[in-house]
Amino acid sequence: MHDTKTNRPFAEVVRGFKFQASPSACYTVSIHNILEELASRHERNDIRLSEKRINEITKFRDLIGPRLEVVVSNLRSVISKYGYFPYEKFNAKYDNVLKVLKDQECSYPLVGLAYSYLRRERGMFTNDVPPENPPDHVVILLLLNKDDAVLYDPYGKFSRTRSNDGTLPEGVFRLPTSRFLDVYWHGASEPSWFFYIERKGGHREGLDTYINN
Amino acid sequence: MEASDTGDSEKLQLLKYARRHFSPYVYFSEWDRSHSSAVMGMQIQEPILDNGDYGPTMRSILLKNVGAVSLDRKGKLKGPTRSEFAKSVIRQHSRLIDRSHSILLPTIYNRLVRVPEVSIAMAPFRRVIISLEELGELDINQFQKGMAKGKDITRYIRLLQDLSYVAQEGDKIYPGAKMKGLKAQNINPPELYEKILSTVMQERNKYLTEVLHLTMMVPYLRWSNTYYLPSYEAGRLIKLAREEFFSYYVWYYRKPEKQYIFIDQSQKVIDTGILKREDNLYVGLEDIFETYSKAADKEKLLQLV
Repeated sequence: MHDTKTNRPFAEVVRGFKFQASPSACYTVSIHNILEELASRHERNDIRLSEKRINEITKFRDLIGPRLEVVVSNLRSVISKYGYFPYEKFNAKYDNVLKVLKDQECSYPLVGLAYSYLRRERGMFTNDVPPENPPDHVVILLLLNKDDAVLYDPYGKFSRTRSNDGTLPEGVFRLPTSRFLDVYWHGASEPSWFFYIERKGGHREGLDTYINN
Repeated sequence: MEASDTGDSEKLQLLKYARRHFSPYVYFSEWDRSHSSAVMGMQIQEPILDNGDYGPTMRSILLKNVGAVSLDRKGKLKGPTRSEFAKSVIRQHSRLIDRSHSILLPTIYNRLVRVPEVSIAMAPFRRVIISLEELGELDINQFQKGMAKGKDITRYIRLLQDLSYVAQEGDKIYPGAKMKGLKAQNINPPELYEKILSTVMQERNKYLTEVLHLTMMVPYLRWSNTYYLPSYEAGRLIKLAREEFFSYYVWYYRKPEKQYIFIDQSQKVIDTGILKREDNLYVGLEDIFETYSKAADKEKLLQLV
């Protein structure tokens, strides 16, 4: 089983990925991870950003995490000079995220999953009463087809089951696409949200145009 | 989630704003539909590290009120700045940790007094008690002469008197009612000193730390709490590797120290019998855990934040 974008074994794709160092860092460490992968695949060292730098850019603070409303604009002002642009999409569709996942010019997409994913799939928070409209969790989507969704969960090491499949590396989990799509992605507090980074050359029409039309 | 009517739709809109502006972990603990205002709560996600059979997992703590946010009639948002919000969250999280201290302290006082630094700080009390126990009476003026310069023994004596461990007549002090009571129960040294000193620490903690500036027990209380609070959240005695134990300390107290200080302090907590080391992992003691957990349940430590 290989990833959708590059048809590499998952272990190779996630080799440079980090787990989140603090509980509110799922989004920021995921940005770090996809930038690392993009930088090495495109051979562009200039777009590599340390976690510390990403924390500054996203106004990350202990306990409360990043300031979501500034993430895309602040990141854009840092990496656009290299021809890379971040985007976030709301209420997206299967085809939208699949298109990004297949495109070599794009990073792996980040998706926001419902809190129920952490409880049911990861066995976390099972003894807690969840708040109303509980917060979402950000993961990296590595593979998507009509049957399976495979993702890298930066919370991986806190999970009782480190991987739900003996063949997958630590932090990589497989879900049936139907459950991923309906229950966790569409069922998130911010339904069907995703984020990605795209390289835009002079003549290339951005995927962003495609998704918005 | 679908909004069932205008009120709910406003609420969700406001929640989305609050999540994007303040923190992804905001929720609304109260919603006042008529004023379009909400009390914001925060979900703190806490990793439970554990090298035991059960393995690591996550727990969450709900801080119920970290600020208010509202929509005015023109649909404009009103609320704290993000810095104010962050401070409020940190303050409340610290309050939870402080409450845990208060709950844990009575269980471990008698062991904390065995930490050398704490024992030195408490030495004047110990000297009074030992001398009284040995001699039956003490002349305060004579006793003061034997004290280090600048140490006023009368403050220590007054505190012991206040707790009825000593009684004063003129310039002389004698065993008080409580000390006699302990002796009557056949409680002898060194248990006698430990019992008295731990009561002093427990019942006059503020005076010791804020007036006499005897703060040396604080780091050891923190180390103890660093282990027992996550264990309570997990509902079991967890097993922590050294780096995990240290990272919890920094997570709770935001006090990164030099590693050798961490090693020294955490070792003293082991030496006193508050924690133990098994296969190089930090593990708690069943009796402390049981007593602390029962008190924490009673005080609703994790619910009433």
